[in-house]
Amino acid sequence: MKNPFARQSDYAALDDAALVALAKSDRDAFGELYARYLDKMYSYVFYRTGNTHDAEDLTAKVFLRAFSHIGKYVDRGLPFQAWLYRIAHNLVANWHRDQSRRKIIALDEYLERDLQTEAPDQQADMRDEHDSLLRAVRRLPAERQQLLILKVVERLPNREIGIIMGRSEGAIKSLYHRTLLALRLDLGADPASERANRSSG
Amino acid sequence: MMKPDQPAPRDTVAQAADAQQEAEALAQLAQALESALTPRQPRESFATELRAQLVDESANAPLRLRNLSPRLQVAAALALATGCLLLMLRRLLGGNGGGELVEDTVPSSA
Repeated sequence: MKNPFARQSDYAALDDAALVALAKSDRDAFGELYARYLDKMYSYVFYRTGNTHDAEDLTAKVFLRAFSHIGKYVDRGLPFQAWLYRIAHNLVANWHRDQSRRKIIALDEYLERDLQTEAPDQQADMRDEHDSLLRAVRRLPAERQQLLILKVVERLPNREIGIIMGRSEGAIKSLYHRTLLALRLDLGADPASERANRSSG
Repeated sequence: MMKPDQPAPRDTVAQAADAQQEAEALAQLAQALESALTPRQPRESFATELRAQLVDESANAPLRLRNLSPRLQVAAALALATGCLLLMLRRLLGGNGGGELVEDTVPSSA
Protein backbone atom coordinates (compact mmCIF):
# COMPACT_ATOMS: atom_id res chain seq x y z
CA MET A 1 0.00 0.00 0.00
CA LYS A 2 1.21 3.45 -0.85
CA ASN A 3 2.36 5.58 2.07
CA PRO A 4 0.15 8.70 2.16
CA PHE A 5 2.98 10.76 3.65
CA ALA A 6 5.50 9.73 1.02
CA ARG A 7 4.84 12.81 -1.15
CA GLN A 8 5.26 15.20 1.79
CA SER A 9 8.71 13.80 2.59
CA ASP A 10 9.62 13.93 -1.12
CA TYR A 11 8.82 17.63 -1.13
CA ALA A 12 11.01 18.22 1.92
CA ALA A 13 14.00 16.88 -0.02
CA LEU A 14 13.49 19.30 -2.93
CA ASP A 15 15.17 22.69 -3.20
CA ASP A 16 13.17 25.88 -3.53
CA ALA A 17 13.51 26.17 -7.31
CA ALA A 18 12.12 22.67 -7.88
CA LEU A 19 9.32 23.27 -5.40
CA VAL A 20 8.34 26.56 -7.03
CA ALA A 21 8.15 24.84 -10.42
CA LEU A 22 5.88 22.18 -8.91
CA ALA A 23 3.83 24.67 -6.90
CA LYS A 24 2.53 26.28 -10.09
CA SER A 25 0.17 23.33 -10.44
CA ASP A 26 0.47 21.48 -7.12
CA ARG A 27 -0.97 22.85 -3.89
CA ASP A 28 1.00 20.44 -1.71
CA ALA A 29 4.27 21.77 -3.15
CA PHE A 30 3.11 25.26 -2.21
CA GLY A 31 2.31 23.85 1.24
CA GLU A 32 5.96 22.87 1.65
CA LEU A 33 7.11 26.36 0.64
CA TYR A 34 4.63 27.74 3.17
CA ALA A 35 6.09 25.51 5.90
CA ARG A 36 9.61 26.68 5.04
CA TYR A 37 8.91 30.39 5.09
CA LEU A 38 5.97 30.95 7.44
CA ASP A 39 8.09 31.80 10.51
CA LYS A 40 10.41 34.08 8.54
CA MET A 41 7.57 36.04 6.99
CA TYR A 42 5.74 36.24 10.31
CA SER A 43 8.84 37.52 12.16
CA TYR A 44 9.49 40.11 9.48
CA VAL A 45 5.92 41.39 9.46
CA PHE A 46 5.67 41.25 13.26
CA TYR A 47 8.64 43.55 13.79
CA ARG A 48 7.49 45.91 11.07
CA THR A 49 3.94 46.19 12.46
CA GLY A 50 4.59 45.57 16.17
CA ASN A 51 1.44 43.60 16.93
CA THR A 52 0.21 40.03 16.54
CA HIS A 53 -3.13 40.83 14.97
CA ASP A 54 -1.77 42.78 12.01
CA ALA A 55 1.21 40.44 11.73
CA GLU A 56 -1.16 37.50 11.23
CA ASP A 57 -3.35 39.41 8.84
CA LEU A 58 -0.42 40.55 6.69
CA THR A 59 1.31 37.16 6.83
CA ALA A 60 -1.87 35.57 5.46
CA LYS A 61 -1.91 38.19 2.70
CA VAL A 62 1.73 37.52 1.83
CA PHE A 63 1.06 33.83 1.24
CA LEU A 64 -2.25 34.38 -0.46
CA ARG A 65 -0.62 36.82 -2.87
CA ALA A 66 2.31 34.47 -3.44
CA PHE A 67 -0.14 31.61 -4.03
CA SER A 68 -2.18 33.55 -6.57
CA HIS A 69 0.91 34.85 -8.43
CA ILE A 70 3.17 31.82 -8.33
CA GLY A 71 1.95 30.78 -11.78
CA LYS A 72 3.57 33.92 -13.20
CA TYR A 73 6.77 33.60 -11.13
CA VAL A 74 9.85 33.55 -13.33
CA ASP A 75 13.02 32.03 -11.88
CA ARG A 76 15.83 34.47 -12.62
CA GLY A 77 18.27 32.71 -10.35
CA LEU A 78 17.34 34.80 -7.29
CA PRO A 79 16.32 33.07 -4.06
CA PHE A 80 12.59 32.43 -3.76
CA GLN A 81 12.59 34.07 -0.33
CA ALA A 82 13.68 37.36 -1.91
CA TRP A 83 10.40 37.36 -3.81
CA LEU A 84 8.42 36.62 -0.64
CA TYR A 85 10.23 39.36 1.30
CA ARG A 86 9.44 41.85 -1.44
CA ILE A 87 5.75 40.95 -1.29
CA ALA A 88 5.87 41.34 2.51
CA HIS A 89 7.74 44.63 2.24
CA ASN A 90 5.16 46.08 -0.18
CA LEU A 91 2.24 44.95 1.97
CA VAL A 92 3.83 46.42 5.11
CA ALA A 93 4.50 49.71 3.28
CA ASN A 94 0.81 49.89 2.29
CA TRP A 95 -0.18 49.05 5.85
CA HIS A 96 1.94 51.89 7.27
CA ARG A 97 0.52 54.28 4.72
CA ASP A 98 -3.03 53.36 5.71
CA GLN A 99 -2.62 53.15 9.48
CA SER A 100 0.04 55.59 10.63
CA ARG A 101 -1.71 56.14 13.97
CA ARG A 102 -2.00 52.51 14.96
CA LYS A 103 1.71 51.73 15.15
CA ILE A 104 2.23 53.85 18.29
CA ILE A 105 -0.41 51.85 20.16
CA ALA A 106 0.92 48.64 18.64
CA LEU A 107 4.44 49.17 20.00
CA ASP A 108 3.13 49.67 23.55
CA GLU A 109 1.04 46.53 23.23
CA TYR A 110 4.09 44.65 21.97
CA LEU A 111 6.33 45.83 24.81
CA GLU A 112 3.79 44.88 27.47
CA ARG A 113 3.22 41.41 26.11
CA ASP A 114 6.84 40.75 25.22
CA LEU A 115 8.16 41.36 28.70
CA GLN A 116 5.49 39.50 30.62
CA THR A 117 7.56 36.31 30.73
CA GLU A 118 10.58 37.88 32.42
CA ALA A 119 11.19 37.61 36.18
CA PRO A 120 9.75 40.65 38.04
CA ASP A 121 13.10 42.02 39.28
CA GLN A 122 14.62 41.82 35.81
CA GLN A 123 11.55 43.26 34.21
CA ALA A 124 12.15 46.94 34.95
CA ASP A 125 15.74 46.97 33.63
CA MET A 126 14.87 44.88 30.61
CA ARG A 127 11.82 46.99 29.93
CA ASP A 128 13.81 50.22 29.91
CA GLU A 129 16.53 48.78 27.74
CA HIS A 130 14.30 46.99 25.24
CA ASP A 131 11.76 49.77 25.23
CA SER A 132 14.25 52.47 24.26
CA LEU A 133 16.02 50.22 21.77
CA LEU A 134 12.83 49.13 20.02
CA ARG A 135 11.52 52.68 19.98
CA ALA A 136 14.75 53.80 18.37
CA VAL A 137 14.50 50.99 15.81
CA ARG A 138 10.93 52.00 15.00
CA ARG A 139 12.04 55.60 14.47
CA LEU A 140 14.47 54.51 11.76
CA PRO A 141 13.52 54.86 8.09
CA ALA A 142 11.66 51.82 6.71
CA GLU A 143 14.62 50.46 4.73
CA ARG A 144 16.89 50.54 7.80
CA GLN A 145 14.26 48.69 9.84
CA GLN A 146 14.08 46.14 7.04
CA LEU A 147 17.86 45.76 7.06
CA LEU A 148 17.97 45.21 10.84
CA ILE A 149 15.23 42.57 10.75
CA LEU A 150 16.87 40.69 7.89
CA LYS A 151 20.31 40.85 9.50
CA VAL A 152 19.53 40.47 13.20
CA VAL A 153 16.32 38.42 13.29
CA GLU A 154 16.75 36.35 10.13
CA ARG A 155 20.56 36.35 10.23
CA LEU A 156 20.80 36.56 6.47
CA PRO A 157 24.20 37.26 4.88
CA ASN A 158 24.79 40.72 3.37
CA ARG A 159 24.74 39.29 -0.15
CA GLU A 160 21.23 37.90 0.28
CA ILE A 161 20.00 41.05 2.02
CA GLY A 162 21.36 42.97 -0.95
CA ILE A 163 19.31 40.81 -3.34
CA ILE A 164 16.14 41.35 -1.31
CA MET A 165 16.68 45.10 -0.98
CA GLY A 166 18.03 45.62 -4.48
CA ARG A 167 21.45 46.88 -3.36
CA SER A 168 25.04 45.68 -3.58
CA GLU A 169 26.72 43.75 -0.76
CA GLY A 170 29.00 46.72 -0.08
CA ALA A 171 26.05 49.09 0.10
CA ILE A 172 24.38 46.83 2.67
CA LYS A 173 27.54 46.75 4.80
CA SER A 174 27.77 50.52 4.72
CA LEU A 175 24.04 50.97 5.42
CA TYR A 176 24.31 48.67 8.43
CA HIS A 177 27.22 50.68 9.83
CA ARG A 178 25.34 53.96 9.31
CA THR A 179 22.24 52.43 10.89
CA LEU A 180 24.17 51.45 14.03
CA LEU A 181 25.67 54.94 14.24
CA ALA A 182 22.23 56.53 13.86
CA LEU A 183 20.78 54.21 16.51
CA ARG A 184 23.58 55.01 18.95
CA LEU A 185 23.06 58.72 18.40
CA ASP A 186 19.31 58.35 18.86
CA LEU A 187 19.69 56.23 22.01
CA GLY A 188 22.02 58.82 23.49
CA ALA A 189 19.26 61.38 23.05
CA ASP A 190 16.55 59.12 24.47
CA PRO A 191 15.85 59.96 28.14
CA ALA A 192 14.75 56.37 28.91
CA SER A 193 18.06 55.08 27.56
CA GLU A 194 20.00 57.60 29.63
CA ARG A 195 18.15 56.47 32.75
CA ALA A 196 18.93 52.82 31.94
CA ASN A 197 22.61 53.63 31.40
CA ARG A 198 22.80 55.54 34.68
CA SER A 199 21.18 52.72 36.65
CA SER A 200 23.40 50.06 35.08
CA GLY A 201 26.61 51.97 35.31
CA MET B 1 62.15 65.70 11.68
CA MET B 2 58.32 66.07 11.38
CA LYS B 3 56.69 67.75 8.37
CA PRO B 4 54.34 70.66 9.27
CA ASP B 5 51.13 68.96 7.93
CA GLN B 6 51.92 65.60 9.53
CA PRO B 7 49.73 64.80 12.60
CA ALA B 8 51.51 64.62 15.94
CA PRO B 9 52.00 61.07 17.28
CA ARG B 10 49.79 61.94 20.26
CA ASP B 11 46.89 62.86 17.88
CA THR B 12 47.25 59.59 16.00
CA VAL B 13 47.12 57.63 19.25
CA ALA B 14 44.04 59.57 20.38
CA GLN B 15 42.32 58.96 17.05
CA ALA B 16 43.04 55.25 17.26
CA ALA B 17 41.68 55.16 20.81
CA ASP B 18 38.50 56.95 19.66
CA ALA B 19 38.04 54.52 16.80
CA GLN B 20 38.53 51.59 19.15
CA GLN B 21 35.99 53.03 21.59
CA GLU B 22 33.46 53.57 18.80
CA ALA B 23 33.94 50.05 17.47
CA GLU B 24 33.34 48.65 20.96
CA ALA B 25 30.21 50.76 21.42
CA LEU B 26 28.80 49.60 18.09
CA ALA B 27 29.57 45.97 18.86
CA GLN B 28 27.74 46.36 22.17
CA LEU B 29 24.77 47.91 20.37
CA ALA B 30 24.71 45.06 17.83
CA GLN B 31 24.65 42.61 20.74
CA ALA B 32 21.78 44.48 22.41
CA LEU B 33 19.85 44.36 19.13
CA GLU B 34 20.33 40.61 18.93
CA SER B 35 18.83 40.11 22.36
CA ALA B 36 15.91 42.45 21.66
CA LEU B 37 15.07 41.33 18.13
CA THR B 38 14.55 37.57 18.38
CA PRO B 39 12.72 35.36 15.83
CA ARG B 40 8.97 35.16 16.33
CA GLN B 41 6.56 32.32 15.66
CA PRO B 42 2.88 32.64 14.82
CA ARG B 43 0.19 30.94 16.90
CA GLU B 44 -0.11 27.28 15.98
CA SER B 45 -3.84 27.58 15.31
CA PHE B 46 -3.20 30.45 12.91
CA ALA B 47 -0.49 28.51 11.07
CA THR B 48 -2.69 25.42 10.75
CA GLU B 49 -5.72 27.39 9.62
CA LEU B 50 -3.80 29.37 7.02
CA ARG B 51 -2.17 26.24 5.67
CA ALA B 52 -5.56 24.59 5.32
CA GLN B 53 -6.90 27.65 3.54
CA LEU B 54 -4.00 27.69 1.10
CA VAL B 55 -3.57 23.99 0.44
CA ASP B 56 -7.10 22.66 0.90
CA GLU B 57 -9.08 23.70 -2.18
CA SER B 58 -12.49 23.76 -0.48
CA ALA B 59 -11.26 25.96 2.39
CA ASN B 60 -9.57 28.41 0.04
CA ALA B 61 -12.68 30.27 -1.18
CA PRO B 62 -13.51 32.29 1.98
CA LEU B 63 -9.92 33.51 2.33
CA ARG B 64 -9.79 34.53 -1.31
CA LEU B 65 -13.06 36.41 -0.92
CA ARG B 66 -11.80 38.19 2.20
CA ASN B 67 -8.70 39.36 0.40
CA LEU B 68 -10.45 40.67 -2.71
CA SER B 69 -10.47 44.41 -3.25
CA PRO B 70 -13.55 46.17 -1.73
CA ARG B 71 -14.98 46.82 -5.21
CA LEU B 72 -14.77 43.14 -6.13
CA GLN B 73 -16.24 42.15 -2.76
CA VAL B 74 -19.28 44.37 -3.45
CA ALA B 75 -19.59 42.87 -6.94
CA ALA B 76 -19.40 39.34 -5.52
CA ALA B 77 -22.02 40.15 -2.86
CA LEU B 78 -24.34 41.65 -5.50
CA ALA B 79 -23.94 38.61 -7.75
CA LEU B 80 -24.72 36.32 -4.81
CA ALA B 81 -27.78 38.36 -3.81
CA THR B 82 -29.05 38.42 -7.42
CA GLY B 83 -28.62 34.67 -7.67
CA CYS B 84 -30.58 34.10 -4.44
CA LEU B 85 -33.32 36.47 -5.63
CA LEU B 86 -33.67 34.66 -8.94
CA LEU B 87 -33.94 31.32 -7.16
CA MET B 88 -36.62 32.67 -4.80
CA LEU B 89 -38.59 34.21 -7.70
CA ARG B 90 -38.44 30.95 -9.58
CA ARG B 91 -39.92 29.12 -6.60
CA LEU B 92 -42.55 31.78 -5.93
CA LEU B 93 -43.70 31.94 -9.55
CA GLY B 94 -44.10 28.14 -9.57
CA GLY B 95 -41.46 27.33 -12.13
CA ASN B 96 -40.60 23.74 -12.77
CA GLY B 97 -38.27 23.42 -9.81
CA GLY B 98 -39.80 20.18 -8.54
CA GLY B 99 -37.45 17.35 -8.88
CA GLU B 100 -38.45 14.84 -11.51
CA LEU B 101 -35.47 12.62 -12.00
CA VAL B 102 -34.14 12.47 -15.53
CA GLU B 103 -33.38 8.94 -16.57
CA ASP B 104 -29.77 8.03 -16.95
CA THR B 105 -28.85 8.18 -20.63
CA VAL B 106 -26.17 5.59 -20.23
CA PRO B 107 -27.65 2.14 -19.80
CA SER B 108 -26.22 0.12 -17.01
CA SER B 109 -26.19 -2.97 -19.14
CA ALA B 110 -26.67 -3.95 -22.78
